[in-house]
Amino acid sequence: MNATQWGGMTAIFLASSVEWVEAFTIVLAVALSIGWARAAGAAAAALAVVAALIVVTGSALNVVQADIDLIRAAIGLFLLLFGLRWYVKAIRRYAGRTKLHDEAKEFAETREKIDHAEARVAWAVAFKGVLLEGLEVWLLVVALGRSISYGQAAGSAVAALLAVIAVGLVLRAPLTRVPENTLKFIVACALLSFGSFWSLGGLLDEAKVWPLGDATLLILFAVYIVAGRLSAIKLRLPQSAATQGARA
Amino acid sequence: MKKVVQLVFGDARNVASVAVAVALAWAVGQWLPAASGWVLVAALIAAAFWQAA
Repeated sequence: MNATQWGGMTAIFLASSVEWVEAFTIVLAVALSIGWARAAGAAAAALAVVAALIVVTGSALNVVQADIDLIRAAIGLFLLLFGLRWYVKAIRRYAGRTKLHDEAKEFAETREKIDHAEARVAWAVAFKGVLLEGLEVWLLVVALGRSISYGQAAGSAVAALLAVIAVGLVLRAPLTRVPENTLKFIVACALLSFGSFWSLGGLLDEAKVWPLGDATLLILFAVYIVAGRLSAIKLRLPQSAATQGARA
Repeated sequence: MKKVVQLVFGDARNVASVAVAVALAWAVGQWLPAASGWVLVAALIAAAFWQAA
């Protein structure tokens, strides 16, 4: 396996972990209301939908015979759209302009929402929560899977799911200690690196745009990391304003 | 459906940022291919700063 494949797999593993942690929080909150069996059933149903999407899309992409440069450009553009969104969000959180995602608060809010609800409503909350988080994982597997290997991409997402379930079942509590913003920031930098490399490499002559080849990915990653952190420092609000800004 | 579209593309500012950055880099790439990649990176970082501000 080369460095690009390792980078892609790591990005999917970390991104999926973040999504699965959020999904686990919702399932845990629902489980305390309608029991583990039904909550796990809702999660399993949502995961089955995500798995089916991954399998169907993978098969469809194998059938499509399109120009490889065109596919790389399209995937690159998608990664830029996805990565930039996460990058901006992470910078805003580092700068104190948006509140950090709080799993304990998410857990409490979900509990409150389903406290007096019927069992089927609680089931639907777990199903929808896992499905929405799972859709983001599906998008990443589809995007990166075409350029690394679909099996490796899907395998990384499954490994992240198993890791989160294992830790979650041991703790039986929201995974509040996961450094979510840092993970999202690192993943965003990786997605922007792959996206920059593939989008322009697909639209123009890759050898001329990126003469250093795959090694450029590491340089791009470092540039996005440094620029993101510097942006966050520059945009950091004073403590009092940060509290107000994060509340808004 | 709206949520799924937002998952893929983000908001209008996000789409505009990427579109402008790629178009700019592509235009530069017609004359200076070796500089186009770094133009894209600079444009995306500037866009991220603008969106985060």
